[in-house]
Amino acid sequence: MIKKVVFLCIVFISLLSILNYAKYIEQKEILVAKIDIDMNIPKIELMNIKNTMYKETNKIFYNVSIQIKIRESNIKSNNLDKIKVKIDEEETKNYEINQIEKILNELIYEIKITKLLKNQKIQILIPESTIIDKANNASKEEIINYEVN
Amino acid sequence: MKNKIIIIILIVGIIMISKNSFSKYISITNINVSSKIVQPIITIEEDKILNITEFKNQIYNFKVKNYSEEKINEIEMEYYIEFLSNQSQYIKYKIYKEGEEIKLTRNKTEKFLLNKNNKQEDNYTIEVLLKENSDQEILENIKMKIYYEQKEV
Repeated sequence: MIKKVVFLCIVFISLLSILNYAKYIEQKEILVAKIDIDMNIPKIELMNIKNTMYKETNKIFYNVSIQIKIRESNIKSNNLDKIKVKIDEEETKNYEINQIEKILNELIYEIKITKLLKNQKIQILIPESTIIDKANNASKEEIINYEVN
Repeated sequence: MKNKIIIIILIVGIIMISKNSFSKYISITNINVSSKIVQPIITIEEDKILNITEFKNQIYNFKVKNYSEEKINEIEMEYYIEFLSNQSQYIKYKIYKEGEEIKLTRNKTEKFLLNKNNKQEDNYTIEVLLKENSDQEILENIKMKIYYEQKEV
């Protein structure tokens, strides 16, 4: 008898739960604000210049390594490939540029120029907007001058 | 006595089941007659997204309405708003309904009622408050979600 009553109760409860189920539920996501505040202008600084002397076919040559530091944590565009290197006022493509370190918001690059002669003058022009951050702040023009000796 | 109880329970059961199948029949008929299907109408009118690029407080407005053009909602609905972005030391926001500040609990508002049959328009304002930080940098989005559901009878 009890079993029958329990069975019937279960049937009723399941029927009632089916009846109460339907309900409209919806949601909408809205983007209120995009905050892009960055008051810091990307900075490019000269860190150090090293030169190494070596002999080749009785001639003395120099390899010069110039390290530059970029200070910016939100880089949107990096155009370091657009730098210009001049040797004795003549533009040259005979150089290498490589990233050698990354620490928090700092990137360190090395520019290597080989087979230079004594007293040759190097000029590296890093144009304006070489580094642009996410808030569209652009780096200023930097010029590095160095004489091999 | 036992038999009588069983017969009573069975009669009640048959009535329940017959009610259930009867209501199911009506709902099928309603689906066929499209004009009789009751659907909720909720319109959200949003402002343009705020593009914030400097430390300056900003205002964002939006409306929650229970009508769209000439159609008015026919079901009582409830809704609440939840901010998906957390407040921080540098970014805070306040929400106002008809000019009165609403308290947020765990980034959520209380539930609000959207009436049926009479036009209703709830006007909201969000105030985004920014505080300068030493890094001079904030890169974040402020998002919210509006949840609405049919009010239980």
